[in-house]
Parts: sequence; C-alpha cells; structure tokens
Amino acid sequence: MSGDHDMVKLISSDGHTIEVPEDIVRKSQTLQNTLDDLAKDQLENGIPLANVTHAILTKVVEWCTHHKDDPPPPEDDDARTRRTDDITPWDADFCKVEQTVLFELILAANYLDIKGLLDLCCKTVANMIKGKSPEQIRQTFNIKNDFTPEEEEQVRKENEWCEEAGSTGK
Amino acid sequence: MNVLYTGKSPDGTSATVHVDGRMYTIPSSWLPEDEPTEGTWLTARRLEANRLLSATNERVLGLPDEVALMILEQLDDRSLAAASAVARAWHRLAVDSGLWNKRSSVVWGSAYGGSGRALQSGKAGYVARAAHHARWMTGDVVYLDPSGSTLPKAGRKGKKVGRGVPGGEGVDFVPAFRTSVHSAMISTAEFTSDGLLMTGGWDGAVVTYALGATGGLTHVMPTARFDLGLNNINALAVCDGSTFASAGGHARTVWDVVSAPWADGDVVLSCGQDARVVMWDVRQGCAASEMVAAQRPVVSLAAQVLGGAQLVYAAAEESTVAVYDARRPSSPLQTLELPGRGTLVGVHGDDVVFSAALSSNGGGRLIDVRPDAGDAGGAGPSAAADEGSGIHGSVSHFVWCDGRLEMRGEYLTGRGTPHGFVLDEAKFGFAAYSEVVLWSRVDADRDDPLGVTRRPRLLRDVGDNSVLGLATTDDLLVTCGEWIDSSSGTAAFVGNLTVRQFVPQ
Repeated sequence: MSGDHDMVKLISSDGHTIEVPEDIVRKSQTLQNTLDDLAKDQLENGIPLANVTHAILTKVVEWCTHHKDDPPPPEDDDARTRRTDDITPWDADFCKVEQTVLFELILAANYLDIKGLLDLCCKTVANMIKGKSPEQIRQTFNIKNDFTPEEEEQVRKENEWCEEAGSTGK
Repeated sequence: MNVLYTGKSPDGTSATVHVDGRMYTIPSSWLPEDEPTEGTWLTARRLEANRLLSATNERVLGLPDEVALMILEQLDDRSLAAASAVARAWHRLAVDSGLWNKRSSVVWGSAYGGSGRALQSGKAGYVARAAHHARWMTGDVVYLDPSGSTLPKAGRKGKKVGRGVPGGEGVDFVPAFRTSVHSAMISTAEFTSDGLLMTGGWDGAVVTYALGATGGLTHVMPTARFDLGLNNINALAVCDGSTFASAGGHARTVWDVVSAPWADGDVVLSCGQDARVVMWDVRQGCAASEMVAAQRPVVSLAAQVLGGAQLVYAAAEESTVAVYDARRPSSPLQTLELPGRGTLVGVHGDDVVFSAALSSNGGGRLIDVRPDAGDAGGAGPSAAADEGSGIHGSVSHFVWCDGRLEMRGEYLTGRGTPHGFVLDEAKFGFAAYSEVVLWSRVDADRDDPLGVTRRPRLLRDVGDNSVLGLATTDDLLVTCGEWIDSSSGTAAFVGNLTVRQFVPQ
C-alpha cells in the first residue's frame, strides 16, 4: 500500500531512522510544514526529530497510520466539548501505556503538532484525574504536595463548594 | 524492579532501559560507573533506581502550560477543583488562566441567564442556600438575605486597615484578577465585612466572589450569582457580613442605596431619578419614611450618626447636597450648593462628608480652605484654576460643625467625573474615567481632620475604559466598569471587574 507513496525518513533523538509514508507524516502539522518548506533533495538524509525517541516515534506513527483516513480535526476550538467518553476502543487500547510513555506521547504530539493525538492523550490524562480527590490524584501521578499548610487550608476553603455537593471525602 | 539495559544512544549521552516491559530513555550518567554490558539486567541498586522513579514522578506537572491547560479544560467542575488543590502548579494554572472565568460565563450564560429570580452558583454543583427575602415595589429595590448560606468566607474577618495607601512611593500594583462575568457594565463593587467581594451590574445580576491568597498572590473566584431580573443595578449596600441590598430600576432608576449605620443593618436608604430619598425597614419589607423631595434626581447618598443625630446626606444632580435628620425627614437641615456638575457623597466615622464634583472651570489645583489656612479661608471652594495642568476634576471635603456643613478642602482628581469612592481609616480616593486616585490618611497632621496629604499618594491610569466603582482593602484595589471586548471579532462593551494587588516595587 505504501508503495504508492513517497517515503520520508525520520530520525529519532536516539539516532534511529524509520521510513514513513508521506501521507502519514503529513498528519503532523510540524512535519507538513517541513516537507513543504524543504526541497526533495534536502530530505534525502531524513528529518531529525530532536525531541522524540525511537520508541515514542514508533507509537506516534502507529497512531497516525491507524488514523490516516480521519477527516482533519475542526479548527474551531469552541466546538471542543468536555466529553472524554468518546474515545474509541482502539484509541483507548493505544493509550494503555505506562504513564511516562503517555507523557512522552503528549510532548511528542505537542511538538509534532498532531492535534488528534494530543487531544486523545489529554483526555486520557483527564480521565485519570476525574472523580478523584486531590490526594488520590497525587498518588496517581506521584505528585508531591507543595502547598504550605496555610495555602492548603486556603485551597480547601476555596473548594468547599464542591465538597458539599458530593462525597469527595478528605 | 527489573531493569534491562539495552544500550546507549549514538552520541552516548542517553541510554535506553526497559522497566517492566516499558522502554525509558535516561541520561547515561544515571548508569552505574562500571558500565554494564548491553542486554544485561541491572539491579535497582546498581541503577539509580530512585532517579529512574523520579523520572516518572511529577511528569504530569512538567508538561508545558498550554498542554496542562488542555487537560484541565477537559475536567468537570468538581474534578477541576480537586486538581487545583493537588499542587501549586495546577492551582496557578486553574486560577490564573481564566479557566474558571471562562467556565463561569459559559454556565451562567446558557443555564441561568435571564432566569429572573433564580439563585444559582456560577459553578455547577454548588447551590447557595439563599433565597430572596423580600422584593419591594416594582423591582426598584431588592433585599437579599443569604444569611445561613455557605458562601465561602475569605478569612479576612476583623482585619483592620492599618497602613496608609499601600500605593505610596515605591509601591505599585499588579493585576491579580480580571473577569467579565457580567454580560454588561459592572457599576458597583463592595467588600462585605467578612471579606467577600460583591459586584452589581447592568445585566441585573449581583455576583459574589471569594478572595484567597496563595504564594503571595491574590486570586478571586466567583462563588454565587444572583439574577435579580432587574434592568440595571447601580449600587450595593452591605448591611453586614451576610446581607446586602441592591438597587436597580426600570422606569425610574435607583441610583444609590446605603445601609443606615444607626439601625444595625435593618434600615436601608435609597435614592433615584425620581428625586426621592426613601428609608426602608428591612425586617418589615416596607418603606418606613421618605425624605421630602429634592428638586432634581438624587444620585448619591451617605448616612452617619453624629452627636445623636441620624444624618442623611443626599447629593442631587447639578451639585447640591441636602442634609437630613432621618428622624425628622420633612425638611432638610441644610442644603449646600457646590460648584460644577456631578456629585458624590460619602462618610467615614463621625466627622466627615466628602463630595466629589467636577469643576465647571475645567481646571483646578489643590486648595485648602480650612479656616486657619493661610491663603484661603471660609467656606466654599476657590475658583482658582491651573489651566494646563491636565487635571480637571476636584473632590471637596466637608465637616459637620456646630450644626453646619463646612467645606474644608478641595483636592484634585484625575480626568472626568468622579465615580467610585472609597474612604476608610487609612485612605480615601475615587475613580474618574480610567484613573484611580488615592490619598493616604496616615501621615496627616493634627490640623488636618482627614489626615489628607495634599498630593495623592497614588494616581494611576488603570487603563480600563471607564471605572465606575471602586473598593479597596489593605492590599487590594478593586475597580469595576466596562471595557471593550474584541475577542469575539466584533467589539462589544462588557462588564469588567479588575482586582489589583498592591505590591512593593
């Protein structure tokens, strides 16, 4: 299938080169700009990606390949809703990775400007936060509580309105 | 922990390891000094396991702000509140990014807009247990009693204002909060004694806000919105910590409303375009008495207890201030004619009434007309003008003395007609056009009953289109009015509440 397409060489930050069909590469706005800006012979040696490791790049390409026929995401930010339950099973499975990988994916999607992947990863992280208490969120992400006791009390007061609306606990 | 070392990057700076089936890229410096062979298992002790662990720690906090915001944006209100309580970074993002504000306006605009007497919170999930206590007349004056509600307190209770104008030399303020939660001009902002901030606007709504401080920076969060179903709200009177009255108007606009200091919050006075000054009994929910009509619309009110008298100062358009004793409302004790147009009255404590007036001569300089002042004496402001000073307004202060209202001084304003007015133990000031002028009352000499220094300690163009209301605390300056919002593509005037924090430079 990919034989019909020009292949583009991508070089990960850890020095691995992979060849990816051009229409897949163009899912990345950043790389699309690169492809449009550079002449063909300038691409001969491949495009170095300083911020993306081989492992992450492989994941990104996997996602882009699966979604290569998706319509382009809507530009209008207002159209974005707060729904996080509209993740397809394939995407959900794709995001079942260790946290570090998930955050690497976010950074890569942000760097490569792949809106659909970035949205997916952000929704996945949001789903890990939803319904949890602050302490449970800290445990989930291994976050240190860096509030002073006074600040924590202040923040707790700020959030009184939501605690009484449900059973968030302490 | 099983760590499989699989090799270094070509330039040698990073290494790849697999932990529990997942691959990580780590700096080569984390490897044991006796370099391991590729494809060997490392014990956690050999590798700096803690550092590997910490590579996964707090990764979520290390995300760029714009990405973290994308995540927080996805959260429902309760989860967003919880996330903002996790750590400073997220708290800052959630509070400073305007995430709440954006959310509030969406919720309010769609769900609660135009809901008449509905009483709802800006944040979904919180319903204030407050209700309209009474509604008088035809929507001219509304009294709300949210006592017993759970409006968050900001913990400033009982805090005395002890310093001078915090904006003296070497001090400036930084914007701490800015919002457009009102869909129309915000006409008034007041602090309650227990530290809530309230605003009223021409969208017929009253909004309360909780103030908090984290990491030295103040933040403000809308906590409740009262849609009164009135056209315009022009004034709020804070009766005590938990009750307030608001005035608005349909046919005949209510311009001002104040709480009577002799009645412990049970009496509220209002005035308006119909030239009436009405005294309301809050508990009975009815008009108690009415001052004999002035000739012109009454635009500003002040009330004080002085030597047993219950004084009501009513400032009418074209610059007259009538003084009544509330127990004998049939005729004013005195009426004072002021120069210029536009009048504003206010009191603090026993002795002082201010009136701010726009000079008719288009100029002005600081004039001290205290009887013992050298260059001028007697009552009444001098017409002396300093053309070209670029300062056009003036504020005068008056002292009730032996049954007479005496003018004691005139002080410069910035541009335009003074609107918002503050007066407390430490400072007084007002807003005019887009400027805020504050004087310190602290370094005053004994001869100056106000403790007013001649030059304002702080005069700033705050840059908003028009500042109509002003409120201050020890370290905060609150202005409200409107500004031009062009974010939607078409410029529109929207309500603007801005909180600035006084900070040392």
